[in-house]
Amino acid sequence: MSPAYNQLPLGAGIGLKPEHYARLLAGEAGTEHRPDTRVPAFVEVHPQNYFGDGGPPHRWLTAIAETFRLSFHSTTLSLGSADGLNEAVLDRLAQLVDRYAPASISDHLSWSDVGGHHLPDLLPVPYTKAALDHFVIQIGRVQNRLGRTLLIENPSRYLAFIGDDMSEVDFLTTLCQRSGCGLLLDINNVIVSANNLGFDGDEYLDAIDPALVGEIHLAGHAVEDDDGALLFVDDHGSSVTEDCWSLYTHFIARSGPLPTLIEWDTNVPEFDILVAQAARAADIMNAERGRHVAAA
Amino acid sequence: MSPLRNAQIAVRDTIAFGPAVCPVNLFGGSADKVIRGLKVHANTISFARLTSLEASFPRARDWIGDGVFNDLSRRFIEGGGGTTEPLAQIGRDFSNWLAVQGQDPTLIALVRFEWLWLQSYHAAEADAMVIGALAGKNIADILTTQIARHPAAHIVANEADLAVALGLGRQNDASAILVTRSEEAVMITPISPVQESFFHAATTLTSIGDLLETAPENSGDDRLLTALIDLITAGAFILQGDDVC
Repeated sequence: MSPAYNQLPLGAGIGLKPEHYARLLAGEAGTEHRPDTRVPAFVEVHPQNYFGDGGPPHRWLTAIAETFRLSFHSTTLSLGSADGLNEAVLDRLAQLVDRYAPASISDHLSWSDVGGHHLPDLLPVPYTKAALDHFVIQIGRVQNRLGRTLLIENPSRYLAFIGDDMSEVDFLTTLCQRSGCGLLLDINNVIVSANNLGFDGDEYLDAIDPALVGEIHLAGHAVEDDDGALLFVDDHGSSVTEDCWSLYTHFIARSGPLPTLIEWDTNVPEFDILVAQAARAADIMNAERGRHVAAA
Repeated sequence: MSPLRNAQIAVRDTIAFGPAVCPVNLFGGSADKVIRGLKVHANTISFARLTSLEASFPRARDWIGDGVFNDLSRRFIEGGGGTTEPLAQIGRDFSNWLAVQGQDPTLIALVRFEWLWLQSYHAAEADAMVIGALAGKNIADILTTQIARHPAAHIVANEADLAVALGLGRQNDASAILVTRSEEAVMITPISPVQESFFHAATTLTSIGDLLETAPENSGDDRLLTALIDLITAGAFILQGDDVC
């Protein structure tokens, strides 16, 4: 299956961290030439870290972009904000997209700005028809401005609104159909939300149409024990959990290889550990490639 | 207000003031579960803001120690400081807030310096003027050479013990600290009152002749020239117009 949502290789990528610039630029990563089987196959950057006009961050990113395809994963458009998305962020993002021509651009099913206040988190939205209409309009504005298709990531949830009209999967599916955006499927977020809100993560993933998925995120999470009530917290601070690998393997068997990112943003590990996680995702995809070839 | 905006205002206020202000008909599940969920978001927001302040002012943190810095950061945020700003701008008014609180003048100067350091680090690329650009020119041509401040160049007043805090030792003759980034690294240079006047004069496009005119009459030509050459060497200016190579 080949999603048309982006030009990322159908391989495994890692998040770009300043402490790993030197290893990436030294060409130590990736011994194979095919962009989809090289590890990492691509790197993800948070565009807001490059909103400055110049300086060392841009020099490094320019050098990285000469070797690796870039995935721009924004956290600051605030698409769900009732006041409208953050225009200043969109302006900056458009400049960066012109400058680096990333292979993929994504943001979240969330909001961060309201009433002139900025809340630096990915806050939840109610799954109502009004919220859906709002997202369709905001995503359309971004896609028109950038001339690109956006991927929208399913959130980690800790709270459920009273009065939701539809499930998260129905909301995302309809959003993709109406706006033309794709889905960035974060399997760790599914696990976190399923635990915290009490739904079945397997059923959630089975309800996702793989044709809508442009990229997959894998990560670990923290577990807080509050007198026996386990709360999963999406902290991106540890290796991918075995539950996450299991669900990923199951989904890839259905979808075929998809661009897959290892998210590890806090307690950032040694480069080799991060690349080993990406290699495990690549192995799962390669096995699926082999199965499809054998079947053909 | 739309239901979506009402819900978002309620979430914002609950995160700011606690679950007591959360409407009972907003979230499903038990009260304990809702409070645990709200705590995750409140902690994430607080952590993001505090770590951004920490990352913006590492020298100030070292100067006063982690405990004092963290306490001041918390008070700044809890008082509403930076809460309307994106994370990258959260420290913009920190030095002004510290001044209102009557904090240590060296700490305030250090925070001002570090904010300008960040502006320099992320400033647009531009080729800094080099002294060789004036080689072979006669005096008249040199004086009409048009220059302007480099986009990464800033100055901060050398107040209190700023120079000492920056590891430059006592700089009693320096009225300001110049911050430049002509190459990859940000550099800091103590500058004299004459150099400071040159720098201010170059805020808008000016000629070297006009720049030199801003110096006091009894400065001495050799001293003025040396002062100017040192500023050029530090990467404070760019060439403009026909002088750009």
